Amino acid sequence: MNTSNATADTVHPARPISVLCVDDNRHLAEALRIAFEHAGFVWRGWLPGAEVLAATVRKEGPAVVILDIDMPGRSPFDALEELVEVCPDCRAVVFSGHVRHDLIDRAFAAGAWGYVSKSDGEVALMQAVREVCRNEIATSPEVRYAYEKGA
Amino acid sequence: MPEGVMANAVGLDECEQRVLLLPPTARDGEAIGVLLSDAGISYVPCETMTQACGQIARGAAVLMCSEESLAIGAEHLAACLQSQPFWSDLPIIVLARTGVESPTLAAAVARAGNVTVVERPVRIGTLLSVVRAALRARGRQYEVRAHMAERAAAEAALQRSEARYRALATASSEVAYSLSPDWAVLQPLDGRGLVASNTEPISDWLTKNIYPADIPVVMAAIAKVIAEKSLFQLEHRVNRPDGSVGWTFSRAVPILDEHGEIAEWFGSAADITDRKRAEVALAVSEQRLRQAKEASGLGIHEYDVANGTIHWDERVRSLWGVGPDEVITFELFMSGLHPDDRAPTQAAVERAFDPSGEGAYAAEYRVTSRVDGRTRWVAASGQVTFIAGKAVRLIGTTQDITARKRAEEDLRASEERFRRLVEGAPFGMYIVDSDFRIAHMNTRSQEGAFVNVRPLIGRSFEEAVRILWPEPVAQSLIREFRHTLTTGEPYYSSNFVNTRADKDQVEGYEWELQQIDMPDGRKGVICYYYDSSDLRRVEAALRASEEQFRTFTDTAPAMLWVTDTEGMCTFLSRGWYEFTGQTEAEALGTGWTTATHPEDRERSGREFLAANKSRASHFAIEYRLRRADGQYRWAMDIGRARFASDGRFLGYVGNVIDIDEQKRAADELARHRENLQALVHERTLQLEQSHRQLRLSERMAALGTLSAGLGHDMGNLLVPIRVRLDSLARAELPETLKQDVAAIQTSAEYLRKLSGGLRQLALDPSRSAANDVTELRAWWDEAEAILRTTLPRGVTLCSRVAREECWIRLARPALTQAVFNLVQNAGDAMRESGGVVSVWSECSKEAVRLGVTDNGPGMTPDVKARCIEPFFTTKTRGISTGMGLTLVYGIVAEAGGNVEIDTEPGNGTTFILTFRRGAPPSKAGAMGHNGKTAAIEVRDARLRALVTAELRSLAFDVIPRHGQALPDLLVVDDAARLNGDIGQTGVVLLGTSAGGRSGVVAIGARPSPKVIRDAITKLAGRGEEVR
Repeated sequence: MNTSNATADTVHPARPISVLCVDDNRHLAEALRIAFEHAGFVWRGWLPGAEVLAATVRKEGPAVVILDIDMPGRSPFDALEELVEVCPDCRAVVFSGHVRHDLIDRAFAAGAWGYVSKSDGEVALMQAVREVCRNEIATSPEVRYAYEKGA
Repeated sequence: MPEGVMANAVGLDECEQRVLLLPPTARDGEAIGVLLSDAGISYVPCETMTQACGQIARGAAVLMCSEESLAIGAEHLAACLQSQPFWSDLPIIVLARTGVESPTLAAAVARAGNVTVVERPVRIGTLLSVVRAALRARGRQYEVRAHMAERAAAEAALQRSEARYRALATASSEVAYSLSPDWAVLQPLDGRGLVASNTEPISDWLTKNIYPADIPVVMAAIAKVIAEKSLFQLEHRVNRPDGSVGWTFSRAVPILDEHGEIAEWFGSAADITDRKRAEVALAVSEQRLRQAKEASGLGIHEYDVANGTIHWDERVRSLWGVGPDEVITFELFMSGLHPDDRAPTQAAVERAFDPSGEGAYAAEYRVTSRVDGRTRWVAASGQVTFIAGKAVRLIGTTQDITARKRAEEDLRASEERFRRLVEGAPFGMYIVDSDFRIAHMNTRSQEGAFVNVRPLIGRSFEEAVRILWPEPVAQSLIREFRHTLTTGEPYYSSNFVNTRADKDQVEGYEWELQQIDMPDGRKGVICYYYDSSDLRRVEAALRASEEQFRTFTDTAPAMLWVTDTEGMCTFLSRGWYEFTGQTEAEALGTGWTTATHPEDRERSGREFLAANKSRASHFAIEYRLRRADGQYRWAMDIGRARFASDGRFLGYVGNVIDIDEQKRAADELARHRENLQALVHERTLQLEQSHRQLRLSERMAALGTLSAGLGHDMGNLLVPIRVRLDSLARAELPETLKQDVAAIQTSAEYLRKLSGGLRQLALDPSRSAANDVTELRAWWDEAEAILRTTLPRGVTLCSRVAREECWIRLARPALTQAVFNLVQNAGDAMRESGGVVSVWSECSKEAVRLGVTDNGPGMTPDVKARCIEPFFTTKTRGISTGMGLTLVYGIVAEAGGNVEIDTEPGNGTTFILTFRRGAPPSKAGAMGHNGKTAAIEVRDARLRALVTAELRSLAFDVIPRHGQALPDLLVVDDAARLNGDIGQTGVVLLGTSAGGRSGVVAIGARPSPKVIRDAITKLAGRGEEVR
């Protein structure tokens, strides 16, 4: 990535990255909190659904939102579009067990910066979060594979 | 008023009927007054001549005066009479003195003019008769006056009429012209086809427009009218613009100026060429008529309408057979006519008497004479004279036309016979006139050969011929016609056979041309022709039929034969001799049997004789027949009994057909049938095998669906497990617990790998990553450690992977999964015994063989056959899912490779995975855009990153836009950034319309990666195939 184009929306490399998790699976979210905090990230909290995503982000001000897309309630894609409108500086990384070409395409069209397969795990997720903060589009290996193959 | 004193007295002023009385004495006056009054004549007594003259001016019929008063007032009277209108000559009765010869009176009488002298004393009768005579004379003068008045009125009307006529002439279609006063210069005129038009004044019109022979006449007429300033009016000839001579009736009037001099001539010229021609023709005709009248003796008839009398001369009377004194009536006229002619004649008479018509009477009728009973044809003609719209007289002639009528009838009958002859003739006939037009054609021709030519009569013969016949034929026909027309040489053709141009049909004709004299005195050509097409068609069909028959008999596979009652062969067709090579001498009788196969001869001969003996209606025998080349061919001999008309058996007629091909074909068919059955059996077996495989595939597919769902849930489960275990591992725990945690971590990792493997199964093989390649040596360096960890204690991993660079067509994770499973299986197999697992590779030019060999217990054939089935395992369920080898098989098959198993109990197991060898990926990868450059000018960081990622994945070099060279591709979010030269650079425009520019693809403001990628490949692919 051509980082020379870095602008104000770039997170300062020296500062810890703050994240907000949106996932209906409480165990997973809790596990991620442990993993992210252990890795030095700032945990801004967890939402079980996408209903109040934009408002929460405005309030909590995370640099990155980790977003599941298979949740009951409001469509995460709609929430993502709203988030881009309301908080353009916040970056969303989709973290999903569904790795399908059409979903990947839809997530990026809605404004996602990254897409990570749950199979690739929390380590791949943390890597992606770091990448998007460097103004790079981030995808985990399985996502890249699925996208390239049109699966 | 008593009768007839004054003729035409009606409408006269009373004054004009008076007698002015200037008596010698008052007594005389009284006496005469009484006398006149008694006679009904009005009078006015006057005392002096002056008074009388005053009365004359007011109007008077007669002046009666005494000699004395005349003498006194003679001067006055003369003056008075002088002032009377010129028609007036007032009668004057002078009562003269008896016996006196007065010179004065004589002079007065001479001056007065219309004077009657009556001597006194006057007898009453004399006086009255004189007065009456005078009144009659005066009455005649009044009539003259009335006529004068009428004439004046007529003249005025004429003048008006002439004015209208002039206007009409100007507006008419005649040629209007204008000339200088001396006729030297002709102003521009429109010649209207009569004379040449001129747009400028010309002075040579006389020589130009007037027929040379008429120029002197025209000039003389001009000289005369110029001198008299009178109307020019002349019929003369002119030179028409088309070079012919025409006739004109030319009138010109002088237009006078205020001094009475000619200012110009204005005239019109009518084209009377046709009339002149008609006149000439009429003159000739009239001449003939006169001669005919003289020769034939016309009868005269006359009908006086006023008194209703009919006058017939003796010729007419003789036709009806009526005597010279007999009164002729209309009824008599009609009674003599043939009943059929009465109504038409009546109509002709009524037409002639119709005041709105011309008055011409013409009729032809039959008249039967009352005397001799002879019927004659009569042509009557005449002209009715009308006066004031009323028919007054019909006068005309009759002519005995019996002879002519008879001749006409004879001619008509003759013509009719001829016409019938021609029309009914079996030949066509037509006449071409000297203008080369079709002048006549009989019905047969019109509806036959020329049916496609319309219009026909009057049509150019050349046109008609070209419709019917193709060009070369038409040309030669036209040439022959012309030749006969010009030279008179007849022509005959008997073998004219050609294809028609108007229909696709061959027609044949016999035809003949002769020159003839046409009614107009010119030459023509008559063509008689006979349509021989049918005959020729029949001949042609017969020829064709014979030809076909010959062809048939010559080429048919059949050999015909005939036998007699004894079964002796009496005829064999050419086919037999050609087939067998036998001669007639050899074949006839029973000789033909020698050509049959020795093995068939006895049987076939027996069958034939049996049939012959039993008089079977049909028989069929098969035998082999020797061909001329010595080869035997299967033949079918079919015979049918022949019978005479009386039912007598005559023998057989039949034919022999070479059925060798059919025989062979039948044999071949039987063989094919057997083959087919074998093939069906084989295919059935294959199908059953396919079914088994399909059942396996179905299970695999079901497993794929299951594993996809399982993989998803597994992610949700594994992440918390792993994270918690990691936390535990970091905590201060007793050693035993630490070992537990480590064991759980190992299991979790195994679970993760299994989950990943399951997801591999979920992949649709049709979406096989054909472009994925993995470098074997590099992969091994990375994978070896993972593989090593999967082996139990006592089992060692030995690497014999080739150290050369070798690419295989398989994605790296899939390769890892496959080998991981094999190594894990091998380790499991040797868990108890311990041993060595070796991973090895062999790279050939086309393929890469990757093997996993162990020195474990090996497999029985049964296990070997089933080991790749899903859920098949020899291990206890606790440590095996039974999916390992199935996954390996799936991965390798997906990559287009295959799996071989080399094993036997006690001798270990070797799995050999064979992959196609791949080429190292270029920097451009599969996309083929290596070396292409792209620049991005997008303000939104995420979009910029997204575009960059796509460009990089498509192997573009992303460069700054304003570098040294123009990029191949430019991605911008603002059309305004396209200012300046972009050359051949393709542009992807985010968010705005492309505005129809070529080389610019506009996509939405928030495009998906696919949209971006499609736009890039579309632009990049403008000159090359992208994927």
